[in-house]
Amino acid sequence: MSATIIILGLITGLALASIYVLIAISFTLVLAASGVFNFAQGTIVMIGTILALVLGVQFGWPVLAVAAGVVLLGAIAGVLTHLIAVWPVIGRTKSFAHSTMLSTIGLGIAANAIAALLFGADSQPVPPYVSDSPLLIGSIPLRPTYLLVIVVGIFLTMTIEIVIRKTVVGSVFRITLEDPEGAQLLGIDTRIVILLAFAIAGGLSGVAGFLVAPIISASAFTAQELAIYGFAAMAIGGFGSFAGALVGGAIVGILTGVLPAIANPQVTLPVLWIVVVAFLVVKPSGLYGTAGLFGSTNLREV
Amino acid sequence: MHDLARKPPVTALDNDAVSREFSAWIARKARLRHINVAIAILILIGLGLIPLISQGTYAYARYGVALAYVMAAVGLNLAIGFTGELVLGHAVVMAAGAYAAGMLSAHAGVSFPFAVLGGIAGGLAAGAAVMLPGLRVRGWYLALITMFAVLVLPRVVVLTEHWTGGEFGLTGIQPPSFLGYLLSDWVLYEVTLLLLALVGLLVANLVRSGWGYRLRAVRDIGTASAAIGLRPNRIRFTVYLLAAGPAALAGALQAFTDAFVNADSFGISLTLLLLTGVMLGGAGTLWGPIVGMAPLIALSFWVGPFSVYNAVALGAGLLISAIVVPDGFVPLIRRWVSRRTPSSAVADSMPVAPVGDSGSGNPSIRTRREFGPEILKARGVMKTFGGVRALQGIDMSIRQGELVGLIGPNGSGKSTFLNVLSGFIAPDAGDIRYRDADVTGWRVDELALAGIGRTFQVPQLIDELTSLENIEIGLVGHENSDLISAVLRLPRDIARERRRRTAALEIFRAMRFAPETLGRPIAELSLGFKRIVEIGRAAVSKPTILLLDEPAAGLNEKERQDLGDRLQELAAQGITILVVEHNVPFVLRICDSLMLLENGQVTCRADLDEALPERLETYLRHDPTPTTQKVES
Repeated sequence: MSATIIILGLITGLALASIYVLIAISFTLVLAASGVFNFAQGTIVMIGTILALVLGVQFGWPVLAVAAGVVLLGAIAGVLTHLIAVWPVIGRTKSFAHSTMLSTIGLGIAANAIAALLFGADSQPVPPYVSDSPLLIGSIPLRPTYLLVIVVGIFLTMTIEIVIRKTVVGSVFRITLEDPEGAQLLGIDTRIVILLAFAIAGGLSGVAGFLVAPIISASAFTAQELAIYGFAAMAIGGFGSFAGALVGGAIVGILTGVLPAIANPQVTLPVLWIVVVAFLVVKPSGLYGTAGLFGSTNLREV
Repeated sequence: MHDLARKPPVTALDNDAVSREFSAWIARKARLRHINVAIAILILIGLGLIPLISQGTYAYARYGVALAYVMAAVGLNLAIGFTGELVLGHAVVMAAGAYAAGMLSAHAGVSFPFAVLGGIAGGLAAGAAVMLPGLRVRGWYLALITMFAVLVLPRVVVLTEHWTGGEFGLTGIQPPSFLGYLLSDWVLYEVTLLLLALVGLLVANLVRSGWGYRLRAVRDIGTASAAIGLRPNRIRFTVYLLAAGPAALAGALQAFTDAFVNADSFGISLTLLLLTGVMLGGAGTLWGPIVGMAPLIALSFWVGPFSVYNAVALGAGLLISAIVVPDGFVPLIRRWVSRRTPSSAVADSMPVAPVGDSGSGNPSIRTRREFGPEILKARGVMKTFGGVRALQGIDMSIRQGELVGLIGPNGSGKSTFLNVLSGFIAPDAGDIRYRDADVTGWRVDELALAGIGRTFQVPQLIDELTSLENIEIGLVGHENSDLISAVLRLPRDIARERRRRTAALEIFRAMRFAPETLGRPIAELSLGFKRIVEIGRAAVSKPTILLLDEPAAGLNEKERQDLGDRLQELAAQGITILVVEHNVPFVLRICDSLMLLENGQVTCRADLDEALPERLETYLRHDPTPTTQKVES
């Protein structure tokens, strides 16, 4: 019996891990391209959960249309983040990193509060996108929703990884990060690259919200915490490495999936905090951390 | 500019001008302080009279809590504003203070003053735990991990509900009493107000003392502050505790004000309230947290503490302050006031470079000096970065009192070698002897305190401080860092300040800075000026050796001339100087001897008053660096 509980916890954990990895990659993309750590990323995840409810349940769109709408609106939210909280700061302050940190925190909080005003502060359940009747593998009942999250999460992560590693998009990102002026000399419009990074990250975070909505419900507040889990995944795995994001996400996901199954659920977050603090104190670069992002030699202010 | 240049070089008159400028600057500071004290007293009286017009337990509780928030913000400002450490865990510190004090009172029946002391201890412990990662990570990493702790707090409270009351909150806190007298609501409010005033006073003392320099050095100079004998991480950890103190006290007082503690009061919204308050008012200014918190608290009184409009306003306030007033309102107000009052003290057109001594070819300086024994020796120093062999077995020595130029092509390893000598980079092999000790592997601050000072290619100064204060900082690392006398402004601390000022003034005169620059923030002055101020900061602690990294880069002819004169004067006083430089005419003019570094090895070394070896001659002749348009590497 207890083995079943642990396996169920593992499945939950892997589903959550997929979400955390998507969020961690969103953070990384933006940071790599622009040097901004976007604290408002969690807000886009939250918007994803709410859109899943509004478009899917209230408007009654088909699931794929909802997904497309979430990607599009998430990307727009990402671009808006840049236009509102990042672009006005450029060249105006002594420490760009410091100022954008504050401006994105501010934007995120204000947006969350406005969402709470429009949507209400209570969380509302979102029906699953696939059948809710458990698949029995042996004696273990697996919820299809979780499997869907895992499959989609892995698919998106692999896609992004391949695009960044193997295609010209990745080269453009790397060049922009390593040497913005050189990139401009090569005819790369770095502003477009940065906007693109914000858009892709926004789309990914939106999808993360859409995927997780049936599990955690749609709410103006809950999704905020997911950003912290995404950060924990990055801190453990090491910043700027896809392998790190995957492994860190898996560790955080399994911890958050299994711990509530075998112990007091309240223990999860404190344990995770201690793990992350221990990692930061002992090995600040994380398990797979590199100095630069995407194999670049340029060390961003980390 | 002209009448200054016409003045005779170093005379009693110049010194008088410096003294006059110094007295005027001190007087300006004193006047500003008096104005601040007057404003503070007026505000205190105003707030102290509130019980006359507004009464009732609920009203007092709200005002008391508002004061507690301001107190916590004052603490947060020490970390965020003065030290530049973006820690967002002060809500946890307040909660720990509140729970510790509350539990001592409710469960153990500890009396009010001791429960508050216990609360402070609890808050300090929580602060140390929450901010500990700051010793390893910076920037947004630190911001996130400390914010994470705020989310963890409610879970810990539920897990320990046997003591903390869990989700239902902690009740049973005894009404506060002192020496047998029960403190009524309004007395507790007045006590909170007085404690806030006390915290403000202690913080003002602290940032005025040598510790104020330490904090700002960590913020503006960072790791380079080790080169003036400071230990950044030790200072950081001290600041975490110092910053936690007011928040812990605030939490403890809040527990008694509310007679109830609940984790919900110490969530992300409190964190944001404190952060926005500090940033909006002006991080790193004494009035910032007060000016910034006032409108936010007023808003929460207006819309109610639980209204979601608070969050909208906090978020928008933070966003707007980051974009529109990145420095906060206090500097804005200060600039506005100083623009309206015509400044008589500082003329608008002032020379930004030090007034040059007309006797630049001073023969007494140029005469050949006798050098002492070899005091700095390197043997077989190697350093590899990745695959690049930057240093490939450097052997060299420097005699006491000589002014050595270290020259060589780009990428020959000059700066790397300087970083090895000053302890910033540990060599892979080889050793370095200073006087008679093997100093290989010593920390930067140990070397600095032992008498090896250095400057940087980009001057590492504290922008908001004046040239005189920036020179003073060179002495802080050499002093006793005792906190008690700093926060209480004991005679010991005043004596230290006087010693620092005297020594800095001496350097200010010796380096012939234009008197008008004495009271000016260093940010307003030119690069050449900053370079010489940085050298002055290194010289003020009377180092044995000065290591200078490209001091003439980016200077114009006049500034370079001045710089050379100052260096020769320092050498004449017996300070040994190693200067890394590209500019050949400059090194030929000022140095006693030259060392040529090529491909990570010293290939040539010669005294300049003797015939130069062929190789050095060739290098000097072929060095393409033009004297005027040098590109900084």
